[in-house]
Amino acid sequence: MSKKKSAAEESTHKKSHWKRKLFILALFALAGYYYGFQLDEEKRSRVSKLLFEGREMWFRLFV
Amino acid sequence: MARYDYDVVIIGSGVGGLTSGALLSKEGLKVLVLEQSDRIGGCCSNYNHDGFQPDVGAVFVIGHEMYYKLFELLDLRLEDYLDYRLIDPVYDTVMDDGTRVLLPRDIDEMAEVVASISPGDVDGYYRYCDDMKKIFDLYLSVLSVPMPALRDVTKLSNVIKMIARTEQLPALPVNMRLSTRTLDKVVNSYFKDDRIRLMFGWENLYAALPAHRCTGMLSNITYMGRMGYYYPKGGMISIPKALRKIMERFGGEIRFSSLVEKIVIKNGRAQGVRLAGGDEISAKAVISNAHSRTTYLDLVGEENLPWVAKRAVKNQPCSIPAPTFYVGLKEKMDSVRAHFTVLLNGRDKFDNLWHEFYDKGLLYRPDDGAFLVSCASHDDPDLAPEGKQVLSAIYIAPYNLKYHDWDDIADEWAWDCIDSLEKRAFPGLRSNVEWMDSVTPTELERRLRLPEGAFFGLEMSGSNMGPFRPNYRSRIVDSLYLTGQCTNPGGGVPLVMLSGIAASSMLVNDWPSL
Repeated sequence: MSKKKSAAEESTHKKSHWKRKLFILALFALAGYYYGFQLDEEKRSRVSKLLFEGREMWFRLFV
Repeated sequence: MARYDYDVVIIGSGVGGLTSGALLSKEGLKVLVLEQSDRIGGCCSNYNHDGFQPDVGAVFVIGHEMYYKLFELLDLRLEDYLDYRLIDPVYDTVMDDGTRVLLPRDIDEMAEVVASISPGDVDGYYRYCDDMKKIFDLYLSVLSVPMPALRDVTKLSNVIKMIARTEQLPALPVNMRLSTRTLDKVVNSYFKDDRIRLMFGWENLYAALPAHRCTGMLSNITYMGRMGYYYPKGGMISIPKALRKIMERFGGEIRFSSLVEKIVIKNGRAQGVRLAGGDEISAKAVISNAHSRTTYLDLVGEENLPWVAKRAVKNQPCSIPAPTFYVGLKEKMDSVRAHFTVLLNGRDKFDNLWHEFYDKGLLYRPDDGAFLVSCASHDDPDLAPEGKQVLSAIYIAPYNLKYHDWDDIADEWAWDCIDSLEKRAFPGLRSNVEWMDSVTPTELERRLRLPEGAFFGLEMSGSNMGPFRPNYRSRIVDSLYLTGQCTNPGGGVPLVMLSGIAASSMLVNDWPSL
């Protein structure tokens, strides 16, 4: 009985753990989104260039 | 009967191709260089219009110590092939507020120039020189190591032996600071006055990257100007001419007007090339000195590329084009006071140039632009007809224009720029022009088969260097090697020479298994 209870508790604990992580991630995404809109056009272009390079550079290892 | 026509076929007679050609011919391989045009050198060449001979691409020799290392590998004396002259003053600098100063080579004389503009920056200037000297001493110490045999150049143990120097220690903090910051931040940490900052921070144009994306290591270029920029007698084309002479001396061959249409690939291995006329030349190995985009997408062919490679090659950005217009002058002008005249706009405009005009594809007003005007005949009068002068004005501009087509505006734009140069530095320039040739990014692309007219090949930013730049030994096609500005370490004559040495070294090591 106690074993069953502790397993259920553990699963609830894991779920809430993931929920908290997702919540923090969503907060960061929201902050990033907000920050992105605050940037002037030049900075935005710099950031998007960096994001593009960060994504594409790994393919270059195969050439 | 030989199974192949040649041991190695090299596509393109740029500095990288000819360096490989000379080294491999010396190793006893049967080498053929194929050049699409009737002129050698690629991006280190010249034009000849009725005796006016401006440089194309490279305009001066920097890091000439590296040239000696190549000649050491060739067991030859550089002095027997090239005659360098020191460029002094280094620049005639014209700022948008009317400030015009000759920048001397000597460190203390340069300090006087800094003091005349901003006395508060003299201390920073000496601090800058002290730091850069540490890096320069390290560079000299690395180059003082005797060159190993060609096959050993790329061996890790040799590379470590070259890099692990005691001079690393004093240079380490400076190296760390420079390599972890961008050029603009490094320059700002030494100087306070915007004009001085610009004077020491515009040479990112040589890497064709904005200062905020350029490694701080590039600030060393300005210091190297104090150690000496050189100009070879006969113009920059003397360098590929010397390499060609050496290659032919060792038995290598060169063919002009031979446009390579395809690299012949059988069972995933390069087996030669097919020329535009349909002729095939077989070879055990192929070295491409062409742009990596041309090599993989056109010569190898998209059908032979895995999707990862296709995506990588297509999305790898080219450096910013450096279009140029050339003018032959009826008479020498006193206002041309140095080999190089650099016309800079204000600091804000210079920084803005990269975004406003490059990212958005807008063409700026010539009066707001920055120009590097090179006078080849200043240090070598033979490069222009007697009593005349030849100038080339290099600037940066987007490849894709938002509202114009380069072919429609080439001449009109160049004349506008000439008017601006006349106003800012050279009175009477327009009426003194005898010949003018406007080479826009699209024209450069056609003439040199250079995607986007980018002299420096691929962008030289962190995500396009080291393992992220195309490998010397192709990872896609066996027996295919790459050299030139699209491989490591990047654009610039001595760096391209290094790529030629590295590609040749790898090929020599692979030779028994090819």
